[in-house]
Amino acid sequence: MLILSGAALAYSGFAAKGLTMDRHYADIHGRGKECDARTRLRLRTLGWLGLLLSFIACIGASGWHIGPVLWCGILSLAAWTVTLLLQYHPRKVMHSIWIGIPAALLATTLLLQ
Amino acid sequence: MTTLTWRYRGGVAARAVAAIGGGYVLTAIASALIAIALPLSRADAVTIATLLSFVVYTCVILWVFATASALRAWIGVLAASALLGGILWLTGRLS
Amino acid sequence: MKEGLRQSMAWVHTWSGLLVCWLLLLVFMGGTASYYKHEITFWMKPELHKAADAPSRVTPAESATLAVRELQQQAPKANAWFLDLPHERNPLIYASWTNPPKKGMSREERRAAFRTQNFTLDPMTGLRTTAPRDTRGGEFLYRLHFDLYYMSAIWGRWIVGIAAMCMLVAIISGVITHKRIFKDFFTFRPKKGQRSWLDAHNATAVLALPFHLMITYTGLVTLMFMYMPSPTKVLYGEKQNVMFSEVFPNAERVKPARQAAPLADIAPMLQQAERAWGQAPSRVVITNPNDANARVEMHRPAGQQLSNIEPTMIFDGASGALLSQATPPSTALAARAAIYGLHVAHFADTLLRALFFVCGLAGTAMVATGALLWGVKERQKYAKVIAKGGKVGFGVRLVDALNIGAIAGLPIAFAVYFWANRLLPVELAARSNAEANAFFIAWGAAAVLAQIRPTRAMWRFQLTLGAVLLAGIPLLNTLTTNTHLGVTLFGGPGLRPVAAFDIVVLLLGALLGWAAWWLGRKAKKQAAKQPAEVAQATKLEAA
Repeated sequence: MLILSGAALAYSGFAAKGLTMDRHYADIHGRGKECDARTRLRLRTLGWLGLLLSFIACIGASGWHIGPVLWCGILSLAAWTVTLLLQYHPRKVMHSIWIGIPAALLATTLLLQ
Repeated sequence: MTTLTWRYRGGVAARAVAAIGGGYVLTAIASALIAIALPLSRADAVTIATLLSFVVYTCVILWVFATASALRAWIGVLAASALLGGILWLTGRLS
Repeated sequence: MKEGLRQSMAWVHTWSGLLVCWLLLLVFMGGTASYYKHEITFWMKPELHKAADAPSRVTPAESATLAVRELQQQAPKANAWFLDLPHERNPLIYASWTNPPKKGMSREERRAAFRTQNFTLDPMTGLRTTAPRDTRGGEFLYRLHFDLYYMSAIWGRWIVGIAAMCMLVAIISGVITHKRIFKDFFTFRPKKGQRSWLDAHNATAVLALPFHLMITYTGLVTLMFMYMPSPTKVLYGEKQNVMFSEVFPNAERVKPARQAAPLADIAPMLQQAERAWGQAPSRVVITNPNDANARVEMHRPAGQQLSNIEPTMIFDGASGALLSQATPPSTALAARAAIYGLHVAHFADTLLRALFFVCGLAGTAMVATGALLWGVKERQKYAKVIAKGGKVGFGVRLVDALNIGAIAGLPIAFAVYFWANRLLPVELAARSNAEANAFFIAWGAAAVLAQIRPTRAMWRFQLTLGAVLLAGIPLLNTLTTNTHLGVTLFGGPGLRPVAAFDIVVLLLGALLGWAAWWLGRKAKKQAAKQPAEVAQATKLEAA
């Protein structure tokens, strides 16, 4: 379960970052539209936070040696998922980004046990 | 667009030899020096030096192709090999 | 070359990649499969499936005792016994032994003999399982990816090592030259020709960059003393064996005393190790059995650490007393072992192993899309020539043919290897060699056909053939064994690897089938376009 929440956090983190990029933002909101600076900063910070929490979840699941290896694998899967979704279903990315919040709560609960 | 003149091909070939062949020799010398210089047990030194050798080799190869001319590439590899080789010879460890 | 760093690195990336990409496809496919080499071997020995199906409630100590009893009968004079105890990836007991080398035996002969010196026990009955058919199973694919085949292992390892070094250079130069590596991070634009191939290449490469960089560097490290002997030469002179004994201290074998002494009971030793580690040993190595200098080495199961060298507890074979616990290695030696361990991933559990497998497939896709991208780019340069009725250059044609032979041909070879396992008669002499030959005959045929006609039609033919052969394996399984999907999906956990194998090859076959279909759709789309455009496009491809 911890790994699953780690994966969701990674997905969420990458989704947040992806949405701030000009190309993908324009795909959703219209040609030429760019993300405003405040939203961009917010989303990117959340993005990094998601990745960091995903790292912690992986360490919690598999320890300091194997955890980072697991994290790299999870990151790749999440990045591929976000990439394909941003191309084929960009709005779904926007709507599913919030998965990171329950994932973070779940991860925190499991880690504190 | 680079025209495939003989001069161009010669340059590429010269760099390839410098990178692959010259680079291997330079890497071997540098790794040997690293092994000697490391203040560790023999087993540790030989392990670290060998582990690092692939990093060194990659850097040499990339430098040979990045540098401004094939001539510079050759001078660089030869000079570095001579310098490091000289130091290696001075350590008296070459059997 | 005066055009700046990015351009020079782009050139290096293209050529260091292109010159070895077809070999790298073999290495990647074989290596990726190797993460499941035990499961593949098990699938290829259907005679063992029945024994594995029943859940085993036998303790490791009992399993070890059974194996030792059998070994005492079968190979009392061996110089070493190896026991692999049941664990989640393999529910049966596997025992093998080595005999003291006879004079005049070549390495090949010793290896061939070793392949016969083993047996499998069913832990529930303590009896030998039905003798499995002679096959190298997943080990063939594993060895293939660094020893190659039909040549001495040293040659194979040098060739693969050179390819790996080229790959390392390609990765680093690729990163340097990739201008918009962050902006293009999530970019994938299909249906845009060359642009799409580049996006696919970038996505498979960059988004698994840690894996690709790791697997390439760690691959070189596995044979690093062979590839870069100079530090050894300068510190140890010609005494390479001294270097090995210092760098690999736990591999030292004590010599036999030539004095008979019965082997003590294994079970208490095993239980002592189990108490110390909290889990039972996965492997037991007994050197000089029935000798006064017998040693019993208990190996801790993988999963706790990155290093592939598991801690051991060494017992005196005659008395059963604990002699030593392997000393923890120095930081440098531990680092080397961890780096090696990352490549072979023994520590990986089900999920992590699947991630390694997926990343390996991505690596294969990275190499394939790179080679295809080069072909598409070069072909563009010939557009004008082709419009006038000319042909593409020799290079483009050669690369196209090699691409078909490797990207579409290799999956055919893998599939044929598995088909051969099911179809070759069990009593065939040198059967495992025959299976390997089948692999190469299939690959050779595909490669030669590709050279003769490197066309889109050949792509579709080979992709379809690969799809049919791979996806057909589960069906073949129903006709040739009792442990097909209908049974394994509902059977015990011991048969899950067999089910998983069938499902994975089915999915891979479906993937190839989709690729063949997609190529066909593209051709139909072009046929629906204006005749002039069609003529242009077909000329471009037929040339």
